[in-house]
Amino acid sequence: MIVYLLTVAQKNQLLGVEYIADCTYNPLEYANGNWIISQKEVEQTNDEKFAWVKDLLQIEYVKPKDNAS
Amino acid sequence: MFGNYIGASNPRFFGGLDADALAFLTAAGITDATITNAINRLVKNYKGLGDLNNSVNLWNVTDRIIPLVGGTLTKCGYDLKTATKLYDFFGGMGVNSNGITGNGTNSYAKTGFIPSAGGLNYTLNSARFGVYCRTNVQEDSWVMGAFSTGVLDISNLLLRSTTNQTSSFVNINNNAFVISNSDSRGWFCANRIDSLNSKIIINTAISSGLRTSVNLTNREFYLMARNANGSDANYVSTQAAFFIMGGGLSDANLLLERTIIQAFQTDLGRAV
Repeated sequence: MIVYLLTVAQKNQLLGVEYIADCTYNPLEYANGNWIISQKEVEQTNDEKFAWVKDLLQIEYVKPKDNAS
Repeated sequence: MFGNYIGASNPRFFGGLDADALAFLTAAGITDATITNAINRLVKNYKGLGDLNNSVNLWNVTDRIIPLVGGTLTKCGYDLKTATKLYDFFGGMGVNSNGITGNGTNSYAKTGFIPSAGGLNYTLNSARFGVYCRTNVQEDSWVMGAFSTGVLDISNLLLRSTTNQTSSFVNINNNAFVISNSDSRGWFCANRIDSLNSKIIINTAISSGLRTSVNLTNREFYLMARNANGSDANYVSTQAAFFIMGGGLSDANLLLERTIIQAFQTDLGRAV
């Protein structure tokens, strides 16, 4: 799965911001002090103020193992 | 607004549009005739006043009903029981007329539903929470619930793990109630009506196991993930078409509720 890599500063800009009606960016902490957002959040960003997310580096997301018990 | 409502010409809807159904539809801005009739039938059947030959009032023992209708996250954010927008979505959540779809990475919804807060039908020894899932996905992720600090006071539901198991916690600290299951589609509801036993219904099959209740979590339930003591975690990638939270039900009423919800999904053309 493709996700987009954020710095801490970029993550802070997105916190609490709705990218579409009633759905808020949810940056997720990832490896090496970086953060990620999903493809859907990037694709559905229409606010010019946050158009920079379209230029974020794409990476392949490796899902951490969840706890099933 | 409800000009396409078919109540007058259909005996099933004799008596017109239920006031609670109308309140929800109005609040959510839904005018579609199919959804209107499906919601009206759902509410009446939950109240024991519908066409499914029941006189049992499940409405009054249910705290939240989340029908996930309307095709937008805004409309899906409305609660049927309270006719209020209670649900907020985060991350890459998908939505269409069939419900909401997680991305398995960072999407979830906050509910504001905190079991320990009190004033709910959901209590330590009478509790249930459930989901109608439309997709068959094998993943070690939790479709709803929360736990408190120290991974204690757990109320979580997992539909189909990578080892083909359904797992639930209902107000317990450890030792999930686990049963074999290789299909995550349909109605799943974790349930408790006493201090000793935990139950789960998967479509029409009810299983029971000894799991003594311990405590109510002080964290709000999340949907499409779980609230891990204040952090969203363990996101699912399934498509959900209905959620409920409320007090526990007898086996007969668990089956009745499933019948009501299946009829609702059929009315909307999205049953599995």
